[in-house]
Amino acid sequence: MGEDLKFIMFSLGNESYGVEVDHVNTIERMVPITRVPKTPSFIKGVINLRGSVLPIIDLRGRFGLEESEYTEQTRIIIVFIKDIEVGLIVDAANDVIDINSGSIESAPEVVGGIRAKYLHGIAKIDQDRVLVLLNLTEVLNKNEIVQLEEFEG
Amino acid sequence: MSSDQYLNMFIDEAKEHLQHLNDNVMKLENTPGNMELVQEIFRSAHTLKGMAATMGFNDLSSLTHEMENVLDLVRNNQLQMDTFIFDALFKSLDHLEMMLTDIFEGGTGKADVEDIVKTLHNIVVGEHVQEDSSKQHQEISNSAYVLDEYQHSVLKKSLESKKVFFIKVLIDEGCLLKVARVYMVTTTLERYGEIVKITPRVEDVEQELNDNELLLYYISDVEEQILHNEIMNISEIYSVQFDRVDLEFIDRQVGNNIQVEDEEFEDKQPEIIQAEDQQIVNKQSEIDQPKIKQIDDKKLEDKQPEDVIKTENKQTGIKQYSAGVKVNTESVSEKQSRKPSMSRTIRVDTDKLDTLMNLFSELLIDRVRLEALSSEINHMDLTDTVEHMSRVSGDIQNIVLNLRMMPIESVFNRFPRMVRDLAKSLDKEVEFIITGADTELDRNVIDEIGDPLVHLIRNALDHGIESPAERLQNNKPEKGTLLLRAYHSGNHVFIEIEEDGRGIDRGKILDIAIKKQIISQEDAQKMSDEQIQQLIFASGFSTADKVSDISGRGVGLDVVKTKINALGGQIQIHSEEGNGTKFSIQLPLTLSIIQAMLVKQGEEKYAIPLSSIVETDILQKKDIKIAHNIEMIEYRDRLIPILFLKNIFDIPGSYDPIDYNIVILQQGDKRVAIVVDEFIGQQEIVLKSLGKYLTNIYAISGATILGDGHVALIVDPNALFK
Repeated sequence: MGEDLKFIMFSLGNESYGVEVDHVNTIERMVPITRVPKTPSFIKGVINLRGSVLPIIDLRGRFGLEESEYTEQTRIIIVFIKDIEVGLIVDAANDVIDINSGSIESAPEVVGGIRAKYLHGIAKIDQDRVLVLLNLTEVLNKNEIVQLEEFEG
Repeated sequence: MSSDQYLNMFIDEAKEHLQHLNDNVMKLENTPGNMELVQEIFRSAHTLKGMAATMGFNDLSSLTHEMENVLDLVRNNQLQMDTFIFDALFKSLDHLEMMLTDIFEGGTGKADVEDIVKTLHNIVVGEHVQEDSSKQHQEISNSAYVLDEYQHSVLKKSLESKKVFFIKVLIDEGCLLKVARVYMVTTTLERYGEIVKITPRVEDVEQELNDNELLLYYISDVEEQILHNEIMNISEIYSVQFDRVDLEFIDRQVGNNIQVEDEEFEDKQPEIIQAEDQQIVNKQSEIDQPKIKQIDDKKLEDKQPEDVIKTENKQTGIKQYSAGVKVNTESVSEKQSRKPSMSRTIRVDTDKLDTLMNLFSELLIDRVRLEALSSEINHMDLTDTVEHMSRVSGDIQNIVLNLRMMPIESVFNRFPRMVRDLAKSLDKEVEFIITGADTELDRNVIDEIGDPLVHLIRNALDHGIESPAERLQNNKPEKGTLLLRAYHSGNHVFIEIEEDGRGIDRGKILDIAIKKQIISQEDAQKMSDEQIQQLIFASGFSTADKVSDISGRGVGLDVVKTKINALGGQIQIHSEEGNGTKFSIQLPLTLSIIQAMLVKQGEEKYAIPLSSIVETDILQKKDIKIAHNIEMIEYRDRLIPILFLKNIFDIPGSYDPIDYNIVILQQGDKRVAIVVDEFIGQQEIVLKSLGKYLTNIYAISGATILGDGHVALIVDPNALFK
């Protein structure tokens, strides 16, 4: 048996995803976003989070999924890796959940349209639900943005 | 070892002393006969050595010890300073700096100083064999018995009613803070009587207490045994020996040194004022116990002319350094005038200042918000209160910004030495003049500006100033002049580096630029002198015929320019072939709060730094002309390009008015007009970075938070001129 890890559970479309609590600062409701020009389209812009300026990424856009309208349920999860801090727009943030590290399996090639390199693994919550665990380091990988820009340009 | 807690203090102080040493040795090089400087250097070296020894950095103390030996000979006129000695001293200073850096980075401060110690030692023994350190020590213990007339008369008088002792105190070998023990011994003794003479003097304890031996003349009416017990009660005291002294004994000790002493007293006065680094205890004992030594006539003669020069420098306030020829540079006055304020300062962790700044900037955002709200609500009392708060916070803002200001001196300090060394290694003769070292700049800018300046100065020496032979050939004085100048102007600080060297060779630059494919042959024909001079900032450009280790690796000036732009500054070059080159750097006073013009385009708001704006204007659509396929307008008899903010930033919106609102931006001599939908107004904004995730965004230098809580992006005007 491995150790218990805490994950924030959120949803994109019909899938449930998780990010480790250790990398989450806060969860915010939608606020006005200031667009930053000449950036990839999934970078929605910057917000004022209690006096500091924070970039916001639409997670759907980041994974190349179809973007949807923001609703009452839409949340911004503020995450950080080392000295990079960003907000991730998700359809809804539901719960905090304990997952035993022993029960995490490696992810298949593609889950819900998201490639395995962005994933840390998947974990079964109960009989018919699985949680897809994000690999934040890859999600926030800046080198890839540069490549994306070159590709688009 | 319990000395860890003193380490930071030690490093700070040691650095100060080292800077002091560097400055003074340099001055001495220009005025080798100046004994006052030698004294000061000696004292700094001495204090440094004592500190190092206390902290257990033996290599540091052994090196300073040798330096001191050399200096001691010099100040006693037994050794004449020459180039070799100066080089050795500078080399030792370099070693000391390396060791200090090592200690600072958590190292042990160990270094291989054997060579340099040997060199110094050879200076001492080589020409003056009889002056080796053992003899010096001998002198010290002998001098412990010697009494001057005043001491003699005091003791003589006391003998009538009291007991006079000659006391020998031995301190434990392993004692870490000998000064403290000596202090305890003296205070104990002073409770029961009077100390007439103590050897070594308190400030010399760390150095001269070689045998851990303390010698005192002491008057008391208490029994020997009681005193003995009292002193032995102090920890780390090895032994005490009391000798009763009679009249015959003290009569014998009055030497032939009395005549010298009066001079010493006069002499000491100015020095005591200068000795800011030494502790008060030291100063007192210095007065009590002037060191007895011979002063010859030459020294007194030397003093006269220097005093005159001192006053001259006082008036001009200009520091002058020179590598090659003697220039008088005494700035005692400067130090004295600065002293009162220094004693009232405290050291504050810069992190605390940063936190204060951040907190204040949040307050500023709220202030703007409050101002907006109060004008909406329009309630008398509320408006008054908010206005008052605005005024107070404006005052606080000034103070907070001022707290972060530092004189640029801390950067300039190291240049005289650098110029001297460089000039020497390049065989060039240079007079280096610094003005405006007291100009204040934001600490962040100070931290960053050092490297670019080093680069420009190296360039000036390497490429700019010619060799003495070449200068003579061109009817110039043999010695080149290098000016480093800093001054305030408006909301900016200017730093200029100017030399009277060979200037920029237009043809040579063009050749290289074409060869390195920075420009094409056709471009070259059309370029103005100024444009050509700008070329040296292009990356991969180096005009040095051969690559030296000083400059000319071709990674230079473009990096300098990038760095200065990153600081929100600009660099200009002005050069006349044959007459020299001037680099002029313009820097913002602060990086944290700036004046900006807020503009609106479609639904978006942007802030444009006021420092780049020349003016705002209204323009009719028909005024736009097309030249070279670029949209231009006529502005003050010149054609300047016109850009649309909505195109620069792909801002949606189809609103197309008849009259355009334009902002004219300026960088150097270049101007550009920007069309915006609407001017919102001028405002103080707090700069915020976009964070580590969003870097290198085109034409955006950061963001700010507006009164309504929304984020507005700050336009980087520099990007629009490319």
